[in-house]
Amino acid sequence: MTTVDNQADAATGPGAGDVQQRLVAFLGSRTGGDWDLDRDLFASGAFSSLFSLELLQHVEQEFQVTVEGDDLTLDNFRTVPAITALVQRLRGDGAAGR
Amino acid sequence: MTTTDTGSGADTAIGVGAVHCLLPDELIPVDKLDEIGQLAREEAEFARDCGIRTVGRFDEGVTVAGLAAQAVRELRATDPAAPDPDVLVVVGARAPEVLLGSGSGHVAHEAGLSSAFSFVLDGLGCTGSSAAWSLARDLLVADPARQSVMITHASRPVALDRVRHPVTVVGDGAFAMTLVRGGRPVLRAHRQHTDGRFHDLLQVDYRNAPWYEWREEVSSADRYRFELALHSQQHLKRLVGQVLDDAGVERQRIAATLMQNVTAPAFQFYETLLGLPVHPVCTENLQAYGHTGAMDVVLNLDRLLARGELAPGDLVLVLNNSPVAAWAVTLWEV
Repeated sequence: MTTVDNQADAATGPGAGDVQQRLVAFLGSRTGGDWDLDRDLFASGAFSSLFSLELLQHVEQEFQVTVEGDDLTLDNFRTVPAITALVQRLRGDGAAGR
Repeated sequence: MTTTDTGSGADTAIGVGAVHCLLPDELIPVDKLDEIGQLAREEAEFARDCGIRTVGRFDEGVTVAGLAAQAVRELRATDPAAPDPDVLVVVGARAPEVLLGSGSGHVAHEAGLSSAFSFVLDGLGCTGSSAAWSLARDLLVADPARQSVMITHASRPVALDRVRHPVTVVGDGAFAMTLVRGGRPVLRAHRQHTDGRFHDLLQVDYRNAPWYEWREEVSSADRYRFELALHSQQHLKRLVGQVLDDAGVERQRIAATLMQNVTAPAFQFYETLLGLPVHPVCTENLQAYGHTGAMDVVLNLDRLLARGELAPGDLVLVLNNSPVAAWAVTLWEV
């Protein structure tokens, strides 16, 4: 089981650990197993358009952000740290600005 | 990016004059397609499991221009008293049959249309038919002397292969239809949008291979499943809202929702997204004929109207989108 340090991280800003933990829990529950922090979402083999929609809706509702336009890219959703950085930036948290 | 608002069309009462769909007698089970045995396992599984049981196949010697012209001729034969169309809009095929020559002129000539101004509407993929509806309406509104705009399209794969992983399996078909004053259903509202960032998501490497090796390829399946899917959900959600606002109607008034036939999971995706059940006629046509490109929404609308389950005044919402990428939403009033 992957564990996530809930402390503030210099690279991703305060609260990043909490975001990561919740994302890991969501992805683990949706894929029926543990989810490694740096696992490539798009190399997981079970990726579909419907799952894309579920993931987006989860990120927007769970973290109270709106993801649209140029932010809807593979790179922003490829790994848990990448999604976390996106969430942090959209929330205007810490050092994760553009 | 381009967004076009053609507004509510109720006052001008421009609608469908007639529709004729041309489908092959020969339906080939997907798992009997010649290419199935040569596909990678993932591609073959996709083809078998995407919700398409059979695809229609015309004789090899028939061209897309010939099919479109046949659809136009047969449509005109059903109503010889109908006025000659003032304009012929040919929705572009997946690949042109000639370079430099005129594909639209070819269709017009073979169809026996001597006075219609003809041209190809291209670059929008499957969404081309929806854009043609809007354009036809605008052409009739712009010039009261025009009485009829004919739209036609033929669907065939660019070469021999029909499986376009992970998008769909391509079937053959052709249609012709007219938009006229006083036609039914009436085109009540239409919105459309394009995004050039996806211009190269689909491609055929035609320069480095003989024609019989051409394949319709998706340059990135991940981009298709993720970026395009999420952009599609945002655009279609917005366009549906705008169309309903333009028409001044509530969502609850929609009697049926249609879309293009790509895969069974795609229907599920858009039902989840929009909260609008896709009418079963779409699934039936997907299973029988596969994806017939820009013809899908015309076939679905025609077959829905033929069922006789809608009453005058009922509203039909038609969603259309293409990986190239273009999106359109049209509201018809029966």
